[in-house]
Formats: sequence, structure tokens, C-alpha cells
Amino acid sequence: MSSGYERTRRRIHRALVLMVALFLSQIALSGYASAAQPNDGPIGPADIELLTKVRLAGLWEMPAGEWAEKRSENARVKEVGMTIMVDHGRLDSMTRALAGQLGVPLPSQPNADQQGWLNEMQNARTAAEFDQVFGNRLRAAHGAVFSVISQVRAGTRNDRMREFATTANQAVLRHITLLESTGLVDYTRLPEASTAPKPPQIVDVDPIDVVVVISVAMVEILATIFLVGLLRKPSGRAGRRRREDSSAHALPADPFVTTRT
Amino acid sequence: MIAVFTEATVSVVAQSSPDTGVRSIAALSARVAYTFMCLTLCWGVLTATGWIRRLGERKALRSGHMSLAMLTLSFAVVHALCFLFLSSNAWKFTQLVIPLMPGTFVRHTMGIVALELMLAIAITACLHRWTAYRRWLWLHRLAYPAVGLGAVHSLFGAIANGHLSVLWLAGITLLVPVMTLTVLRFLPGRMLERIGLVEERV
Repeated sequence: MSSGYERTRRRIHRALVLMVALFLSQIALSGYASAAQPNDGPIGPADIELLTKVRLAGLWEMPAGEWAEKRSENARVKEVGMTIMVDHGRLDSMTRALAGQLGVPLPSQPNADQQGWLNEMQNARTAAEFDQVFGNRLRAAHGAVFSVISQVRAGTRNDRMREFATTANQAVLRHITLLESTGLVDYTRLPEASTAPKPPQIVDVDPIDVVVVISVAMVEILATIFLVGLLRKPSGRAGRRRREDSSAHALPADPFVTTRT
Repeated sequence: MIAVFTEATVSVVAQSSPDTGVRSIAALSARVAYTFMCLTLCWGVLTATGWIRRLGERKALRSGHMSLAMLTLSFAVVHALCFLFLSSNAWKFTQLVIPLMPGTFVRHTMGIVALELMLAIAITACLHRWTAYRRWLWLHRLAYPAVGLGAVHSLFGAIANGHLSVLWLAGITLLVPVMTLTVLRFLPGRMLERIGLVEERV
């Protein structure tokens, strides 16, 4: 009886130590998470994606704009190319500065698709063909990044990202309008507007949330077992007397066993 | 039992429709009902097993369990009735009481079945003197699946209404002790003895 009681006590102590360790690790984890976030609010995966996409856009649209200014024979395309190059230069320095402050790593090379579009422009045999590739490729790319910008502008939790998204939104809309003003855009080749609903938010679970859920659940499970153990055991002198009485008079087994319903 | 909205009416809420007040009451009563539902089950398991007998007499503990159950049912009924008073897309009474009616989703059915099971359990709780104990017990134990259905209904409701990000932590915090106690409740005595929750007496 007493050895069983000691064993239970040891188990409860062990559970308590584990619970405290989990609790402290949870506090440390949340402390780390909050320290990693700047004062302007937390940044999410969409914010990082936007910074990366704007940086990538700058990496291929700046040379594309420069080439348009040099290679095109169309005055409007030259003008648009020049404006896009200057705008993206400004946007790119803003992107790098903000990413540096938020600790977001940025690419230094255009991705494979963008490199392919640059190659298409480079390999254009005539100025007219170059203009076609320039107008359509840039228009499609701006359309793709526009939706990412609008989503971040609508839902970001970070004040600086919101400002950045506002600026990027204006710049990209201006570029779309400028590119369309060349009269070269083939709208039938652009991806059609989708009305697909947003995927359920349950699939967008943040890894830190999973850690929090597991930690909370484990702490709670242990706390529940610990509290049940604590509640069912009479404490102090009265408790000792009751335990002695129960062993001396061989009372019926635990009500849990007998009255299990 | 978080708010049961139809997909079509979610957009109406977003545009601050005249139903905002009714919907707020539905959401609030759902959250309160969920809280009391979890507390009722925890208290019920602790009372039935005798794990909290040092806190009071069994009769007093049972009264506490019944009070919590009554609060759960009251708030759940308020939550359900709110949908009769919507000015747009109001529910019919039949949709509210009959599962799988056209115009409702599976998550609504889960909530309806959970509430009806709980009502049946509450009514029969008073009748245990007039029926065989085993039969009464079998019915009373339907509370476990009813709570499970209620929890899933709440989860799906929160997802459908975009409240999951706000409510998930509170919901899980309340649900984990319920699940732990339910598992402990049905564990074999030997295993409980090994954990130290039941003592071997010689």
C-alpha cells in the first residue's frame, strides 16, 4: 500500500517536472517568436512571398525595360520601357531595404521562367517581334504579381508591409496601364480571372501554431492527469487517517472500480 | 457550437446586414455553450469515477454536473433558435429540428444531432428511477458521441465563418481535458493503476 503510494507520488512528481519543463519551453518558444517579429507587427508567409516576387520582377524587368528603350523602334514602347526600368529601380531598392530590416533573404538572379522570357527578347529577330514579346510577357507577369500585392495589402499584419504593398500596387497598376497603352497586349493570352474560392484556412496552418497546439495539448493532458491524481487523494492528517482506515478495515475498492458506469 | 451560418449569408454579415445583432448572439451563445459542454463532460466523468469525491458529497457533485448540463442546453438552444429570427435566409423550424434537410450542410446536421442527443440525455436523466439502470446508462453514455459531434460542428462552423484563427486555441484548450478524461474513463483499471489514478487495495 505504502510502496504503491510512494510510486504514485514519484510519478506525480515526475509528471510535474515534465509539465514545468514543457511550460517553460513554451514560454521560451513564444518569447523567441515575439522577439523575431519587429514592432510593426508580425510578417507572414505572404509578406515574404511578396518581397521575393517584387525582387524577382525587378531582376528581369529592369533589363527588359532597358532593352526596350534601346532596341524598340516604337516610340511608345521606348517610353514605357524607360518608365518601367526607372520605377523598378526605385521599387527594387525599397524592396531590398525592407527585406534587410525584416530579415527576409532575397534572390539575386531571375528565376528560370524570367530568364527564358529575357532570352525570348534577346533572340527576337526584328524590333516588332521584340515589342510583341516585351508587351505580352511583361503584361502577364505584372498581372500575376498584382494579385499577390492586393492580397498582402488587404491582409498583412505588418504596417511597413502594408505601406510597401500600397506603393507596389500603384506601381504595378501604372505599369499594366502603360503596357496596355502600347496596343501590343493580346488579352486572349492572359490567364482568365478565376472565381475559385480561397482554400480553407485549416490548410494554411503556420508551423509555429502546430508547435503551440502540441505543447498546449501535452501540458493540458499532464495537468489533467496530475489534477485528477491530486484531487482523488485526501491530503494531510485526515487523508492519512482515511488511508490507514481503509487499509485496516479493508474497505471496498476504489469507487471508480466498483461504480464504474 | 460555434455559429451555424450558411455560406451565402456569410457575405451578408460582412456587409453588416440588419442581422448582425442576431448573428452576434448566435456566435456568443455558441461559444458559451461549447465552454459549458466541455465543463459538463469533465465534471460528469469526475463525478462518476469518484475522482473528486473529496470536494463534496456525490449528490452535490451530481447537482453541479446537472447545472452545467442545463447551462449547456440553454445556450445551445438559444444558439439554434437565433437562426429562426434572421431577416434574410431565415431557417425553418423543420430545418432546425430534422437532420439532413435540404438547404443545410453536414456540419449543421452534426450540431442538430448533438443537441437532440443532449436533450434526450437530459430528459432521461430524471427518469432513471423508472427504468433499468443498464438501459439508462447506455442512453446516458451517448453524451460522449454527442460532445464529439458538437466539437466537430464547432470546428467546421469556425472554419466556414473564418473564425478559426481567433478561436482555435481556446477551443483546443477546452477540448483537451475533455478528451483526456474521456480516454481515462474508458481505460482498463489495470492501466489506471499503473498510472497511479487507482490504488490497489489489499
